Amino acid sequence: MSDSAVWVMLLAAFGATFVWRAAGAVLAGRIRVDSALFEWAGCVSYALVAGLMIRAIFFTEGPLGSVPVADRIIAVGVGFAVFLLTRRSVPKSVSVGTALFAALAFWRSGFFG
Amino acid sequence: MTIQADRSGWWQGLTDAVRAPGIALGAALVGYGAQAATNGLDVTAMLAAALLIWALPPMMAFTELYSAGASVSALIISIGLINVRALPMIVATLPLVHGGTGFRLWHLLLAQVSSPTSWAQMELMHGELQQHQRAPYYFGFCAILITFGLVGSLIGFFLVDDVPTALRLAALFLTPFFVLLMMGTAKRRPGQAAGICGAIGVPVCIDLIPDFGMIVGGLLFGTVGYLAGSLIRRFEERNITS
Repeated sequence: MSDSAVWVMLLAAFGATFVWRAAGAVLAGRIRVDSALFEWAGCVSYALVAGLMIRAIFFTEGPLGSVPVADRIIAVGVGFAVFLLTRRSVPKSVSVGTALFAALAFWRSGFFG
Repeated sequence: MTIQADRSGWWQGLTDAVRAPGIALGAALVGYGAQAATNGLDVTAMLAAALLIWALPPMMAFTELYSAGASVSALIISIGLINVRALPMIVATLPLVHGGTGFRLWHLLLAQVSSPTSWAQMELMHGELQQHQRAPYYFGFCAILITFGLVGSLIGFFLVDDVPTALRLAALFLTPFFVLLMMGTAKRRPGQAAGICGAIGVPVCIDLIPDFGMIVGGLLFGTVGYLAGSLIRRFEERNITS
């Protein structure tokens, strides 16, 4: 992809995010944020982001794709178990899941002998 | 005169952010920087994307869409849909900062630098600060978050090739896992259901419909999650009342 194409995409991404920020600034204090429309929009966002992140971890063609799927499943699974056991603490579950992922990667590389 | 009385809102915002909030955000953006380098962005574009988008889910989506060679129209729709969630957050945050006055142009700057962390901090500190201290406090707090975030992303970007492969892979794993878990903190049933439906269905849609699979999948599985979650919530409320 050319240099100018990156900046066109970047400006497009900026516009697509800023429009909601500007709308929020204009509407602040004037609209109800607990309406059905807002809840639906939030759901679309949750579905999109969750799907993209699952793709980035499990269906990527980048370097993460070279890690055995079993290792990724174990790290995500244990991290989620910690998430549920710690009343949905993101820092604790991210730390445990990522540390386990790193430990498995070191183990695969023969670091532990 | 006490030290507390001498401290301006700006300075207090800076010092409050230097602790856990700034460090946590910086750590989260290490993975973004590593991902951006891996996906072929140069350092200027990576920093510009962080500053201009300034929300981790669309930033991660941007690097993924860029590496996938998505069209500009698909990018605008996808990023726009992902960042709809910024609107209610900003609607909730800004009155805590400017006190609910009418719209002014500088409120756009307040909106651009806002994040879930700064919203949570303003909820926490709103009662502790006098009105004239709130905007300086907010800008000071956000300035540190942005600084730590950019430093974290630079660390990820430049160290991704210089650290052992295992650590590089862990950095690439950290941020999508962090964002995924953030989706798991949804308080309402429809949001939880949509996250689960999207995690399963959206990757399949992307494979089936290369150009617009993400948008179709997001709309489809977000709506399915919304309807399923609403039904579950209604069922639970009926059980509680009966």
